[in-house]
Amino acid sequence: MNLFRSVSSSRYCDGSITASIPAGCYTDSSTDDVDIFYKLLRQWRMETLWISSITEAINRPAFKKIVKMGEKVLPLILEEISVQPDLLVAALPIITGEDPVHETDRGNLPAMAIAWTEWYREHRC
Amino acid sequence: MATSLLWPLPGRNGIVNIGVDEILSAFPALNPEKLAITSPATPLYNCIAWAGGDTYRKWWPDVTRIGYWPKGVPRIETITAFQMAFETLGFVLCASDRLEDGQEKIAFFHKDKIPTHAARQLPNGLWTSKLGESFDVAHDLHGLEGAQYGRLALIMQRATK
Repeated sequence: MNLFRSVSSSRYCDGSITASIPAGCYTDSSTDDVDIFYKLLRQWRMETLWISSITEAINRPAFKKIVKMGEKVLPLILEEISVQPDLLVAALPIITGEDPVHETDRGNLPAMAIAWTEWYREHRC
Repeated sequence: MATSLLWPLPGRNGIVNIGVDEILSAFPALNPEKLAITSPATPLYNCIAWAGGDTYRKWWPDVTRIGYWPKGVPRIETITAFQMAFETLGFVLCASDRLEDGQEKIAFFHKDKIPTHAARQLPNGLWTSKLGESFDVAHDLHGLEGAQYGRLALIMQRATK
C-alpha cells in the first residue's frame, strides 16, 4: 500500500527542494535535512526494536530530534508510514498540534496513516 | 529459524537482518533450545495486543493517545491498569504460571513497577511473545527477565475458548 505516491523524499508538495537524490548517486551530507532525518530514523528504529511501550519509544532522543526538525519532515514521515505504518506516526500530532485520527482508530497504524495523509492533503498542500 | 526484518530501514543499509542471535543477545536468559521465531517482523501490533489475541493494533495507555486502550480502564502505565485492561477480556488474577488444562494464561513484566511486556502461554507450556517491533517468538517464560523487560509482575488466566 503506498498512500503517497506523488511525494518523493527530495521534493515537498509546496515545490521546495531540500535535496535531490538521484538513484545510486546519493552522498552523505551532515547539513542535509533528508540525510539527517533518515539517520535519526534508522537509529530510532534500531533502538526501539524490542520495545513495546509507546511512551518509551517516543521518548527516545532520536525520536525527539526528528520531532524537533518540525514540519519540513512531514512529507518524509508520511512517505515512510505510507509504505510501512509504524510508531513514526506519533511524531505527527506532536509536530503539527493536530489530531485527525478517529477515536476508534487508536492503535491502528494503517488507519492512522490514512487519516494523516488525508489531513496533509487538505491542510498543507 | 532466522528471519530478516521485512521492512527496509531507510538509507544505504537497506534491509537489516535480525534473527535468533540478536534475540539471544538482547535476552541472554532465554533458553536457546526453547526459542523459535514464529512470525515475520511487523510493527503493526505490540506484545500487549498479541497477548490479548489482537494483531491489528498496538495497545498502550500512552498520554499521546496513539495506542488503543480499553474504554473505562484508566489510561495510566501501572500494573493495576494493565490488569484491569485484561479483565475486560475475561482474565482474572492467577497464582501460578504452570500449564493448566482448560486455562489460557498471560504474564506481565515490569521495570520499577512500570509495565514493559506481556506474554501468553501456549498449549505446550512454552510462552509466546511479540518482541517489540520485531517478531513473535515462542520461548521459556523466565528467559525474558532481564535488562530489557525487567521481572515478572503477575499472571492472569481465563478459561480457554
